[in-house]
Amino acid sequence: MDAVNELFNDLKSPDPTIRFSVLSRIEDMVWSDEHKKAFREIFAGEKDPGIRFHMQKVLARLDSGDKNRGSLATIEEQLKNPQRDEIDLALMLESVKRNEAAAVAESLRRAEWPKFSQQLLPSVLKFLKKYGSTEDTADIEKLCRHGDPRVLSSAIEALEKHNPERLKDLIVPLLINSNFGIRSRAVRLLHRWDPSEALRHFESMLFSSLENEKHAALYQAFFFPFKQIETLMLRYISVESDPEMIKKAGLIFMTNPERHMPARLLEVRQACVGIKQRLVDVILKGVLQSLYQAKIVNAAPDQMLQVLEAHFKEKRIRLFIEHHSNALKSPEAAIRLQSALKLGDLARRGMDEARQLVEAYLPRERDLNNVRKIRYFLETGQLELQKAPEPVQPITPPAPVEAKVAPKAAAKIDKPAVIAPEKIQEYSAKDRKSLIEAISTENYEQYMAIIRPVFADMDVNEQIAVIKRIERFGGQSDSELLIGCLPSDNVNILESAIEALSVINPEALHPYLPQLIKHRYDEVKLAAIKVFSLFDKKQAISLVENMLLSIKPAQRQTAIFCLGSFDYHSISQTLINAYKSENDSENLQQISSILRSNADEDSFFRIYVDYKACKSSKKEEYEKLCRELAQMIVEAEPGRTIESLFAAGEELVTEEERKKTERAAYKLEKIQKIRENVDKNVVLDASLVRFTVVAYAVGAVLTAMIWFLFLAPPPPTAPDAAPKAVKARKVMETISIKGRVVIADEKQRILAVETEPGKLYKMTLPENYGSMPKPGASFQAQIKAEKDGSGEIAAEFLTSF
Amino acid sequence: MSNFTVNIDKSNDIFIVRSSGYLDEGGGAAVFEAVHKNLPADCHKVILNLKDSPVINSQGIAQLIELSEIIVDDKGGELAFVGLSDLTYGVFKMVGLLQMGNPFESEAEAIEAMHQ
Repeated sequence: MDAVNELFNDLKSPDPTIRFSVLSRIEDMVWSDEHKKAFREIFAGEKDPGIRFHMQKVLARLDSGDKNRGSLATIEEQLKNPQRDEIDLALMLESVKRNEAAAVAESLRRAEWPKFSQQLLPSVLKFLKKYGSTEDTADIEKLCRHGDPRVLSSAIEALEKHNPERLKDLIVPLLINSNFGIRSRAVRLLHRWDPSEALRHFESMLFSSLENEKHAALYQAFFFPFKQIETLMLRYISVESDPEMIKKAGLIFMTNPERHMPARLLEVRQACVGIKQRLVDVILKGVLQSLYQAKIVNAAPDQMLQVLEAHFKEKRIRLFIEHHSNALKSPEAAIRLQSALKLGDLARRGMDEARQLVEAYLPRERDLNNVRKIRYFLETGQLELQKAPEPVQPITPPAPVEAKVAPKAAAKIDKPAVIAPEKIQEYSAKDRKSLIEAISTENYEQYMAIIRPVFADMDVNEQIAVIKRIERFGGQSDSELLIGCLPSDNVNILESAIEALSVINPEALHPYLPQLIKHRYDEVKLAAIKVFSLFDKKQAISLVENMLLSIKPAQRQTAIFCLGSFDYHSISQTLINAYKSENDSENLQQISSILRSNADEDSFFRIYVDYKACKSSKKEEYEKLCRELAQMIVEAEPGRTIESLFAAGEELVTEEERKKTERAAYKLEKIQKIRENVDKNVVLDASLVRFTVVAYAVGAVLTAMIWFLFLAPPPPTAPDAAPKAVKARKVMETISIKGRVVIADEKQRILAVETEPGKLYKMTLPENYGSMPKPGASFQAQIKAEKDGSGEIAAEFLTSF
Repeated sequence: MSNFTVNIDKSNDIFIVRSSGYLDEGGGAAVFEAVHKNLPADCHKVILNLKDSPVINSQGIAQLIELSEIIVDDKGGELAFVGLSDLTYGVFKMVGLLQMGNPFESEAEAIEAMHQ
């Protein structure tokens, strides 16, 4: 591994703080001639004066090769010279001999070091961190409010060494610093004095809409005890869609292997698709590997993964059974019927528990239609048809195929004879059923070639059976057939088609999701949201949260069931909130069952706080739930007791109460308010920000459609017809642009850069930039501009490269 | 960690610390103590051989950062890391530990570099 080259890559980062941080790392490495050449090339392109200074320093050291030249005499000579060479002095300070260090520090004090240039100050502060004393703290403290992040971060480090308690008073200015690196450093400092408040700040940064802020939070995540942040990190990895961020977060999981983590990561993996699923899979396997290497578990990673996958499947089935067995008690006959059919389906696949539940329910069912339909389904595996089969929307038939199956004996023979597809219609329902049931991986293409041309003419039951075979054995080639089912009016066909498409080709569902999510059948809506969550979990959760606000208990029940299909940590708070607001006993039961199947300490404590705050008749139910959760936690961790968990819960409640009355200036809400005031020209709309931050390009379009069709509030009714000026909502962010200069106003130093046709960034270049670029020249810079703006976009120049 | 062990050794003017097992908070504290108690006052070169500690958690890393600051900043010494796994290399790079000491594949390489 070539560590120098790796670091050189970081030197090309558009973020100056990253480039600066790299410099201090590369100084002491072993350099080849090629490295030196590459470094000189990077230096030639560097525009930031602070970074240039430090690069010059590195080059000067490389050229001289002299590492021990910081003698007291030479430093004093430099300090007395007003025209001193600052690069030389910086190098000298880094190579002072220990026995002369105290005298050099004294010389620096006499030379009034705080008045030195901002380029030189980081080197002085670094020296004073090592060799300074408490008498320097007052001066260092003043620099902890410096505008240059390089000076500021060096000052913080020095003060942290000599008098960390003084940093306590600086927390607020550091937390509102515009540099996210400084903010995150402040959060880490705050953790020394107020861990729970620091974690609230950390959470706010981690779930920020700004990429740089999230990067800073992830970096600091390494310095927090993992136990304190693991729930946040799980939720983060579950909703994050930027691959680079996921990789960084993954490193934190792999570094901190915990026994219970793989099962939770597996849930996250199962709840996403595409590159994210692959990345989470790598993280999951990495954690398993770490557990094995750290000898926390004895099972090899592959072996453990198999067990986890089996457990995951069992857990899903258990939740499914619990949900539908609860729904059998519903006062609505239609709901009871749907759930009994779902359980009946499991029963027919050999699940005895499901059969027993249906058998126990049938004698209690007063709706005779339900009884008849369920019995018919249990016997035949088919839905009872009320009318002639309705044809679905015609689909484009595939090219005629020479089929090779004798349908009458399809289920029994291995090598079917050649028949024409249209002949299938002449066979009995029983034979057609046998044909469909005989579809397997081996004969899939052969059999489907016969079925595809006649699929549209099959009855509903047959179509559902075929769709289920496609889900199990099919591939993307059958997407078109399934999409042809989406205009169907039959809820069962629709639900099956969505579920099958979500397995074989979820991307193909994209254009249809906005309409399906608005569908009048909750089952369809639910299936569509589940697929949507694979692409944009945050928005999918918003959709479910909207459903949870419904006044109809049945619709809320559908939403709760939907929550059960998400990975638990992305929706645990939604569930806990739903438990708080829910009054329907069946729904409370459903929520409890999901909470119980994911019992962990974090959820227990959050529910415990709600339990203690509850003043209604629900208090008893809360207590019961807390006891059940505590029992399950204790079973998993034999060292704990229910009493100790309740006692810890009490402590937490007291702490929460204390925090409510506390007026600390660094409280997250106060800091957020100050930040808003500082940045008053920018109006951040949290929901809009959330909406705009989607990593997958295709997901962004889909999210936009769903937002406008479903989530967006209806346009306000204007009290009068006169048009009113609307204040534009802007989301500003730091971005890198590359384009061609089209306007360069030398006098006002205004520059306009076209990055793509119709997209023009207009900014003022500072004096220290030097001569203005000429029109037509290429221009690459880091700027602050309105996110997703178009046309002429006002921007703030940060740095060019 | 019951399975965690730390051994110390000396090769001329270089102090070598070899850890084995999961380096968590307890492991980090053991390494810290081993250096703190046994590092001779006149010895400023330290090699941390982490070959048999392929997993180091956040709290272990925090201990190593503290130790590195003492060796490099306070004592003005030199530090080398040996046998970093891909995982720990990535993490050390991210948290800035490679700023405090250079990584080497083997103790021999680290010793040679420290003698230069």
